[in-house]
Amino acid sequence: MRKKTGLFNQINYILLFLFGLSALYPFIYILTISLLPLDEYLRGGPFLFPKNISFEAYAHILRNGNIFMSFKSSLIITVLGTFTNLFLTILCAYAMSKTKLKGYKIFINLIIFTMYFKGGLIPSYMLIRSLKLIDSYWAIILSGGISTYYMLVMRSFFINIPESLEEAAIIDGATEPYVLFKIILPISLPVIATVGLFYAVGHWNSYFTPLIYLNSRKKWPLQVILREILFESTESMRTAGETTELQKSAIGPQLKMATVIISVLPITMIYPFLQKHFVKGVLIGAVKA
Amino acid sequence: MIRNSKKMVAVVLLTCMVLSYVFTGCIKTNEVETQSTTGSSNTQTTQVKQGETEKPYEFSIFRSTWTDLNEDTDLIIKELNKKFNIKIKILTAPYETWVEKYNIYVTSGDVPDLSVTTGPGTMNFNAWAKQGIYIDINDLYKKHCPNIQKYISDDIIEAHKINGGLYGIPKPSLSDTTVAIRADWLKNLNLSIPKNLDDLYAVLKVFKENDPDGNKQDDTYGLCSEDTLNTIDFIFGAFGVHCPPNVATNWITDENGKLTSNLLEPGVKDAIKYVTKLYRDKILDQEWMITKSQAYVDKIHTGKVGISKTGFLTMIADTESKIKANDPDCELSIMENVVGPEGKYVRPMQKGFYMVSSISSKSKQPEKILEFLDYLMSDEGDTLIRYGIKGITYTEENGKITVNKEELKKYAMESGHKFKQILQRTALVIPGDDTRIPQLLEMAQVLYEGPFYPAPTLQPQSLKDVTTKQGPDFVKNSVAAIITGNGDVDSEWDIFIKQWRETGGDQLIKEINELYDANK
Amino acid sequence: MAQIIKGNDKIHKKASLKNMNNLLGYIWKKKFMYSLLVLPLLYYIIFEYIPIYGILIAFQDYVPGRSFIGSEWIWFKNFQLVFSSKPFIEALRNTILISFYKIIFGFPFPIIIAFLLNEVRSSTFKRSIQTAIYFPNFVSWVIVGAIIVSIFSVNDGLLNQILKQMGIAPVNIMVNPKYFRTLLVVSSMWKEAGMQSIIYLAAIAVVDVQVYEAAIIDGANRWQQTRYVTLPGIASTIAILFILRLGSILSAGMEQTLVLLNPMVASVGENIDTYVYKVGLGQGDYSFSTAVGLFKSLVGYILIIGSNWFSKKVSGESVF
Repeated sequence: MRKKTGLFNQINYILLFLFGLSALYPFIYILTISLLPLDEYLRGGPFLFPKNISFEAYAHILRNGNIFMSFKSSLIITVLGTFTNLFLTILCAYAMSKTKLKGYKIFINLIIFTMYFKGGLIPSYMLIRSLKLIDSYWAIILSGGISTYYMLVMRSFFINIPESLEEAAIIDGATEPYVLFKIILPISLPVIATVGLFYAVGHWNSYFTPLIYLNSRKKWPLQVILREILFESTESMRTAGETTELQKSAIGPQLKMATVIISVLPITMIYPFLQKHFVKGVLIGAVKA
Repeated sequence: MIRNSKKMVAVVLLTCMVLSYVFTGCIKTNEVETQSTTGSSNTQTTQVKQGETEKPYEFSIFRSTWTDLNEDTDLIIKELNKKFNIKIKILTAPYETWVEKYNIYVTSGDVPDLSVTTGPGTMNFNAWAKQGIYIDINDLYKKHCPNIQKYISDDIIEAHKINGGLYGIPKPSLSDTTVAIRADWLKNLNLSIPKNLDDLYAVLKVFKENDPDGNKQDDTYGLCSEDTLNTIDFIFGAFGVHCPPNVATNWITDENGKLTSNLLEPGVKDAIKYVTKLYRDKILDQEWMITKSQAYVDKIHTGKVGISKTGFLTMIADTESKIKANDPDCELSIMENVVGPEGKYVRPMQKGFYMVSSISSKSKQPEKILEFLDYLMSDEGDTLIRYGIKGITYTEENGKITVNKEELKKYAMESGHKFKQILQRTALVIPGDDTRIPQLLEMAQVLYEGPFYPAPTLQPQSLKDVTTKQGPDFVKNSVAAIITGNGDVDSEWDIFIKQWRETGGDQLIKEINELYDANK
Repeated sequence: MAQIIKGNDKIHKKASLKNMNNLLGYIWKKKFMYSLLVLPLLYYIIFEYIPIYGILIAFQDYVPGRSFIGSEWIWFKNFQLVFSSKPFIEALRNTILISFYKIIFGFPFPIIIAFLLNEVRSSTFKRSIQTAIYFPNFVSWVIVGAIIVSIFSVNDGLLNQILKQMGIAPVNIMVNPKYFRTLLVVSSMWKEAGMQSIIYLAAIAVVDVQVYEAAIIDGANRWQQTRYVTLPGIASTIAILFILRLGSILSAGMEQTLVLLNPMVASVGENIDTYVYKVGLGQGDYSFSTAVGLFKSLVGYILIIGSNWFSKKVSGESVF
């Protein structure tokens, strides 16, 4: 028995380690290129251990006037957006987890219908416009208010919570709000953290929606500005007079990679903080008590 | 318990703080925005009594990729605002999504006063012109734009008319590409610049097989190409073909003066045969069909490619120095037009323009906008856009202009101001000391001679239907299959052409000719 | 007779009034739950249902700038156009096949990863692996695609360099139709597994510890614990995610395919999304893309409603 589990453990560790390594490879690749001085890049090769490091690409990005403002925008959209999303999603998922509620069937079908049948960009834009939300962050936040997909996932977690837990609390005299806020939510931290993370990532990476709903360039989030910087440096337009100074300069690939690092790093760093919520044992003895 | 509620309180407080920050931010910016919104609701200039100042005419300009252009701080915009008593507002979107953004503007009725877009034949431009989104500036153009008329030929203007109305002024633009060859490799191998197709083949073969850079490694390419084949258009030119068969919708005139598809030019088949031979003999990069444009450029810069496509103007200032960073012996020479079996050669077709400027029918003072456009093409305006302001970004002595690079950089004007993308004369200028530059500039003059597409703004109405039927990329995929396959090029090509014609090609040709005749 | 009928009417009336009262009373009793639903339903009505008229564009010759009612009705022309197009049918076939493979292989993979991670004792190792594998999700396909191309490049890519050392002739993977679908499936599995495993990790985390304790008392080893405690514990999560995954069967990946596709593999790789994108490129034809989108929606919706019903029939429980 011991030998078996020992072997299994070893293989497990190795497999996971290999997978992790392969997943890190692009990260290392990107990071390395972003730090290379030009001549080393052009020589090709696996880029694992550069001899010289240059922060020129990062310096160039940070010199861009719009960068810090766009970072602030991204932060606002992500924080505000995620809170709003979680708020609405939790309410909806919990209510919809009560399948015996009268009207449940109607509600759930109405909601799921919208997952597939959507009006499209133009009617949504016209709606936002008539609500006078154009150029406001709320246009982005509200138009993506609830992701039915995540709501359904969260709902399935709520359903999984043993009924006995709620019943016991009610017998002890708890009100429904108490049950939701003081019992269900604390237990559901893993799914709330997960769904929150997914929403946050979605907001952080969003490019198209902010572009459409925001007219002031001052409000454009990080992803938009980074792509503009990137476009400026790639040689996709070759008509006379259209070549920019940056296309002529030598830091193209480094710049491309540096934009990736800058756009990805903040959101990747959130994850480790959330990992503690995926620890087993949250439901210790709850029903017993 | 207590800890939990403290946490809750903290969360609630934080949310309130963020919310209130955003709200006040929103209110503030909303106030600012309502003062200068897009489109029509601008302040009007009113006819006032003499002695009182008029309010500046506010109008919006839309063009893609202008994220960095800040109308409040930009040197040139401030100057223009002063000069014309106008107030320019910039609307923009990044390159990949500008069409969507622009569509949104039109849909919501907030059409920008001045739109710089890809014009007739693209997007929904023609439909919009018919709907009255843009005004017909035919008469106003003749009246207010003497400078533009000097630099844009009537032919191009005519080509841009839709049912006799002029809805957009095109920006002259020339595709300044040329073919560069590694002169140092030629020297190493004792060869001279190839002048015809046979020489070309021989040189390419040697480039591939005989270690031209002397590094004892078999790592050089003979010829590389982008997947669109546009980067080897000079080979097609030697066969009398004006555009490589990447798509079929480049309409050119045949020997009878009618329009036909570039696929049907005599000589295309032979050109494909030549390219196929290059591929099968492993002289052409075996990966050409997956090489997208950035990858192509990267390959050139590694210094392993003997012949490449580059810009006249960027060849020395840019391409050569980038290759040099990797391969210091690099020396580029221009490989002039390689001639084909009949000793002839044609240059690739050009559109002659890039993007057009259109004026919204809701704008209050279209004449003012046209004056602004015309100014860009005047001597004074051209200097302003190119070099900036005298005394700040450049100095002039005896007619010679010396630019102050530091100042230009400070105002983000190193290659001129962004407004050059609205309208600018095509003067090819490279400041620099390299001895090859005068020769380059002289050679670049040929660009002005064209040849130009006869109907650059027309597309047949069944285009979407035919594309749906044939599948997107039908031409590109079929041609790539022929070149990289093992079959008999002659018969395969004939089969391909027949298929193209029967699945809608002939229909398209018929329609484009009808449009062409109607538009004449 | 008439008396009795009238009497019945009265009883009915009384009954329906009573029902009304009962209903209102019920709503009042359950007011907390219903109040929870107020804001979300408001969201759905305003932001999802009001714009839904946009679906009509699929049946019209719509041009932005014209009103929805003003455009010409072309009804099913767009649908006729695509369904009579051989390349579209091919793209449809590719879409279904590739999606199918992605589901068969790509759906269980994050689950397995989550289970494997769950078995790791060292918390540091677990966390670092989690963080590492979650990273590729953020790198856009443009970059990942470029990396893939450079690894498989026939001119000195990593793979061919290794083969050269081993004395084997170089292979050109990227242009080989036989490998392309595998490439799509494996690369998307690799890219997304990390992120997707998070949901399963969260599900595993909420399985009641007491059930584990009971199983251990009964003498279950780790494998048996996994099979009889963890797996059933997260079964409903797996079920909902699976059904939802089925709903997007007609989306085989747009950015990934656009980046990796080339003429030699187009016949096996072109899918509906890339097809629509390329046909509409520069044309601004909203009705076309809306029409195809409608088709995708319909199929997806039928699939999830169908699989939900099926699961109810089979297991007695429906997912929603």
